[in-house]
Amino acid sequence: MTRLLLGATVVGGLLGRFLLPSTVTANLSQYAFWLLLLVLFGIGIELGSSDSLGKRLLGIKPKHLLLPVTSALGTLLGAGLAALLLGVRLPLGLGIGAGFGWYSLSSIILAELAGAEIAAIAFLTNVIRELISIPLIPKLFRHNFGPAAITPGGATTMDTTLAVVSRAADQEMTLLAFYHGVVLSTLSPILVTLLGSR
Amino acid sequence: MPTIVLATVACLLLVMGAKIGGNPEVLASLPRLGGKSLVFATLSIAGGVLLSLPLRGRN
Repeated sequence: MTRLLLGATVVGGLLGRFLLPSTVTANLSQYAFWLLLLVLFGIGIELGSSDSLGKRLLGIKPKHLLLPVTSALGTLLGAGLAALLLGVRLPLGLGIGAGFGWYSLSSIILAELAGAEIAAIAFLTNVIRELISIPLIPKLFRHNFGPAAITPGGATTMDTTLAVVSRAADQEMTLLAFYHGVVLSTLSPILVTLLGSR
Repeated sequence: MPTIVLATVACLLLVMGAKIGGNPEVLASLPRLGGKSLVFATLSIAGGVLLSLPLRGRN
């Protein structure tokens, strides 16, 4: 899946650079808007039909239910600091962070709301985040970071990096990672849209 | 991800890629944007980990 999505981006980049006339590239946003609505609709259905979430929550220690909150706040603090250091407008910087590693969704929303440059940063930031997470998560578990070891994966801990957590930690951490990913995946499109349009 | 959503996301990434590729200014600044992105990714991860450390507890 990662290869398909990264491949689509590179092919698109090559088309835009070498093939498509500027009259076409200028109108891309109009086509993208309707596709984006369709994607958000599909993701809503997918999250709404995660049937066993309620049962899975019972296997998690109550204190650990706070993990998505500390994870999201910490990410936004870090992204806010990065925005201040790099001279990126604060709401857009927070919007980049609120991708929570979900590079496909955050970058296509920001491409519509904030332009190609911010979309490119959101894409690269969240791809890099996933690439760092895969080796980092097992390291943090080995050094006894506990639930915090899940957080680098962000929204992807319900799918792509869930396997990484399940190999590195026990079943409670795997349940917690899934729950963490579902909450951040629900928050991400909302926060990115709110922040990207400011 | 359901196939139709995945296919639509792939289409959208194709469009986003075309937007970036069709914008010479953004294309020229990709190396600089990569550096910025690394800072965003590193600080975002660090913030999430640090703020979540207190949940570790004793056992």
